[in-house]
Amino acid sequence: MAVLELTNITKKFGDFTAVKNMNLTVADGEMVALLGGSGCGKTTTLRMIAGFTEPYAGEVKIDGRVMNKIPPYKRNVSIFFQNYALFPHMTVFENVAFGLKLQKLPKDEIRSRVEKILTMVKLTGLDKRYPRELSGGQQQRVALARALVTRPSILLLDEPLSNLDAKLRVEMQVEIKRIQKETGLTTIIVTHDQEEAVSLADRVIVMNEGEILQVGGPKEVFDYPATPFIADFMGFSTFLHGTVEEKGADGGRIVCSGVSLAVEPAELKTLEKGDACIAAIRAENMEVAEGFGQNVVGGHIRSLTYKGQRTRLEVEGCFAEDIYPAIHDYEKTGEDGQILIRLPKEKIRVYKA
Amino acid sequence: MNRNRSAFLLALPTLVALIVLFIVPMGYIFYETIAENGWTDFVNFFQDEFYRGILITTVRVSLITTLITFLLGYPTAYFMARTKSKLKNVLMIVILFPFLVSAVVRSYGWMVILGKQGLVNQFVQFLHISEEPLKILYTETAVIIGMVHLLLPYMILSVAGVIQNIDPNIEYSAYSLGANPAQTFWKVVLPLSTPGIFAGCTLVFIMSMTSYVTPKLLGGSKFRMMSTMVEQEVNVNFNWHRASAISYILLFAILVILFLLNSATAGMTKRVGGGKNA
Repeated sequence: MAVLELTNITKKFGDFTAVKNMNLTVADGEMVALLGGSGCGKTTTLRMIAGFTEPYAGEVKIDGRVMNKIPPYKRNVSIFFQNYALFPHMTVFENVAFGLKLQKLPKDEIRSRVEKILTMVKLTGLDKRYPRELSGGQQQRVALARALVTRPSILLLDEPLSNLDAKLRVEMQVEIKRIQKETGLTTIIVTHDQEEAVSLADRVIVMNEGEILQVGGPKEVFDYPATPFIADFMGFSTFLHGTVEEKGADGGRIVCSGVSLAVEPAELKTLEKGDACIAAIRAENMEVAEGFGQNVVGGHIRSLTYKGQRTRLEVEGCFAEDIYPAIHDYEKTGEDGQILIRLPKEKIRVYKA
Repeated sequence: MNRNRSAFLLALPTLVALIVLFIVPMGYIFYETIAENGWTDFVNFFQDEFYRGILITTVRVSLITTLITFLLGYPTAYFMARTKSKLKNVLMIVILFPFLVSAVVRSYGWMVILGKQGLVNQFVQFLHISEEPLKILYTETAVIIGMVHLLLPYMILSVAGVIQNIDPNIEYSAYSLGANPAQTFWKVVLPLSTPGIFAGCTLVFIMSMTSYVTPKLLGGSKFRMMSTMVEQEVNVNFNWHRASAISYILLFAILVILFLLNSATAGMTKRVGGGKNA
């Protein structure tokens, strides 16, 4: 249970700057996700918090205490790795008890704490097994138990869900959230997966090239990415170049490839009439229209990919750019591949080009 | 099953060669020795203090060599397996380089260094540590130095291979759970590298037990190990039966010690799954 503060931290590897002047405060009991592609600096940040590597400049503070020179084994920061990194030569019990034995606790206390934590992660009865005798999901629970049992001040999760199949993902997602709320641990998640970030964290920090691009609640980051770059990263599929046509208190319009689209006036706050802009929309937010109306465009389906619940289309001819809607329960509508697509007004994000 | 059979076919040429050229002749030699003299050569060997001494020397030299190569090789191997620096490639070349020079040449090299007028003694006298030249060449020490030099690469490569397969995150996990570097080493890295240590020690031990050139050249005429003794029995004493008895005693000595080493590490080797950690 602790407050984590990163002030102006910078990390360099030779000429390459992995993290640039980063500032972040994580409140006690908060669950924060560092989200970004590979090489964005998220893992380096995690390693600096854990103490595996020292910042080139700036300070890592836990509860106000500067940790830069404190080695990892004196920080009381637990880390959970994507590949679990269990001790293969130890049983489940020995794995979980490892940290407690180092604290030289009495045997009885070690046993009762290990048993308690194994119950918490639903692994009772497996304490004599070796890691390789367990399924991936069970190994993950052992890793989680091992990280939690020492009662760390901060818990670091490195891509906690990405090694799991779809069903286990959902299960573990619920589990991690439950355990985090139960223990009230300050938790940092590092991930490249936007779904993992928004489903687990209270706050999402989007990073790129060693810098923070956006900080916000999961819904905010998911629905209102700050830039087209973040929008792309958050899974927006369709990007249209255009200009602002009309800016009013109760409505705004932009023109993309000669098509006029209504947008929320809030989207045009920083833009003026005639400004070049980029409109972005998520694949799942576009829908098939029965007839022409507001923000409905006609196009020609170039390809379609069945994805189970949704069918992902590639539609050309609506704009200069192709659009990529993902339609729920898609059934062939138009003839000759003609289709009408609605871009709902409230789902369009507009950025300065 | 079909697959097993084709795999077997791949091993067949080697297997045939080994049986025809190695196992059969060895059996023949054994048979000849026993057929003519019974077990007398074996019994005599163990009754004679001189021969017993040679066996003890051989085992002692081999164990010391194995221990020193382990102590020198393990840290090097760890560095090799974990470093990301460019030094790694240089170190690799330096480690492999001795392989390019024959044991004979290397032994002569050591003779130059360890001899009465050698580099070591010139240095010792230059510093006035000792007025008399140290007697290193033609002693057990010289043999051990030569063998360690010869066999170190086998230890390093065996151990480095296994350490390389230990996920660095496992070490990081140990740190984050409160283990300092020494605790991490004793409780995590060392046990997980048992398969590599076992492989390295086995290789080095066998090669020390059977080495001939190094003890011959660096040990001089008065220092004897099992293999130089075999040669002496054949070429000097013309006692082929005793030579083959000594060979067999050497073989069994190796097997017994490897069996003991294996039982000592079997538990851990099994637990870590032969070095495969995932």
